[in-house]
Amino acid sequence: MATEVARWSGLIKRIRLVCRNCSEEYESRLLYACPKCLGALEVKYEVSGMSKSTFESRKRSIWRYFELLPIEDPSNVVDIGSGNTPLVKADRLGEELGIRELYIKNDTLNPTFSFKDRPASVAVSKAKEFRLVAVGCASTGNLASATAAHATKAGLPCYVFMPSDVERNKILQVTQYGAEVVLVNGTYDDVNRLAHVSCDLYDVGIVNVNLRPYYVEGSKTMMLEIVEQLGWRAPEHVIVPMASGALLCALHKGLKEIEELGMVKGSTRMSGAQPEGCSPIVDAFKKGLDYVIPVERPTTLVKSLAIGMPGDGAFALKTVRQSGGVCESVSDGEALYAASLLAKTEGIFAEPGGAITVAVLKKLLEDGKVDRSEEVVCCVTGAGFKATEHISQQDVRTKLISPKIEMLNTIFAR
Amino acid sequence: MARVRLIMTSTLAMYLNSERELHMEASSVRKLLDQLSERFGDAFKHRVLDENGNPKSFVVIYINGKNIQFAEGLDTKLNDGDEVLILPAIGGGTSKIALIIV
Repeated sequence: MATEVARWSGLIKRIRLVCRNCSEEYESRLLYACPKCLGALEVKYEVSGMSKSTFESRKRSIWRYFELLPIEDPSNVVDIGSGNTPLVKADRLGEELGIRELYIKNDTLNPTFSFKDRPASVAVSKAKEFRLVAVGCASTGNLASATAAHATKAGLPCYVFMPSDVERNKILQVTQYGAEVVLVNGTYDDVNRLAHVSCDLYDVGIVNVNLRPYYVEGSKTMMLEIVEQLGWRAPEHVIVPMASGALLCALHKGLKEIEELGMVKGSTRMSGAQPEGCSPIVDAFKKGLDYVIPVERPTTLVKSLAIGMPGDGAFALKTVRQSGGVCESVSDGEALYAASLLAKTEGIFAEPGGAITVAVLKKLLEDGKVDRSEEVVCCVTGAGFKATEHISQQDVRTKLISPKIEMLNTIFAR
Repeated sequence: MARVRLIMTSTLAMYLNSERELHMEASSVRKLLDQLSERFGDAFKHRVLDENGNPKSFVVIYINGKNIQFAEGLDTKLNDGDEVLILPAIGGGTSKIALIIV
């Protein structure tokens, strides 16, 4: 049964939850697993009266796509300015890699410096709509700050669970938003299990567990923006970092939705990037499997992608294959090099987990899996300040001088 | 035969008309699932097991916090005092059509 949920600007929107496994439909409510078969649920919309101008007439943020987001009452929206990040034509980086049409979707420029602000904004808004008294998350680092920042804006207590070995700056950052920060001596999958049990035992909305069907909807706004920034045109190829695989699936869902609305045509290859030390989705892709064999102990410096048991792994595999894309992994060294190259050519300082898409593009070009005339968008999802441990002292090059004019000669003289 | 504590989500417990925590005796995960199938019938089997009687790909079983996929799977032996946790995996599955224009 559908619930009529929103009338905004004369438009009607209805939201339902649909089981990905058995297709059973449910009213929108706090539910993440199908009561009938325990399958994952996702949001389905019924909309009317939509056009491109509906979106274009609104302020630039993820919330300009309100009809495609699962919030019923606009007064529940918790907005700290997520989204509206630049799509940069990366000519210098493209020249370096040998590709003509390269774009960077620079999601380092979100309020807490990662793409996670998009799903966190939606999930915390939904928590407010459900009248939940607290929120939280299981995080490899970036979601922690995104959830905490939106929670504090909403006036909700926030509990974040992270592996104890996440980057120091990610821990520092999240503590500044006033969240209860719980570090777990274990892997992300241990963290996820505890968060899962938390929302079962306590009245808390864990954004990526019991609010997950709503949470993932926020991520798709990255694709909606890319399409709109290209003049309502689907990009030829998008490369996405994969941890759980949810981002890649969300981008694809967003594209399909605006195709259904007749706002865009054309197919987009979706490709996924993982670090070699935790690449269960890539491994399954290369072995031709339609399921993912989990990794018990990730061994990568790219901690934001260190999810050994990717919840949306099988779905991401299917999405990549159906779109004609590829899954590829790179070494930590290649990811670090890509982060450096991105900074030195385009002025975008990204963490290795964000820049990994550039590293994978480089590899795919070298292997001939991407044509040098293809238009490619690399999604760069997190800022470099979040993960500085990997920057070696040799890379921190400075000159120390005494404050004397003659010293300038040592700098500028060739 | 080991005496173990079984924990399931409150949603699953509700649909099984069961307590969230159960004390059971079984020598392996497979034997434990057999007992649960017998006790709760289709209400359990349809939610947790696939057509071959194995846990569905989106259901995860932990013994003392360790995913049985990283142990011996269904043949993982149980010991006295073990805590067995059954959780639906978050995410998973394949998407159906997600938008209808009315």
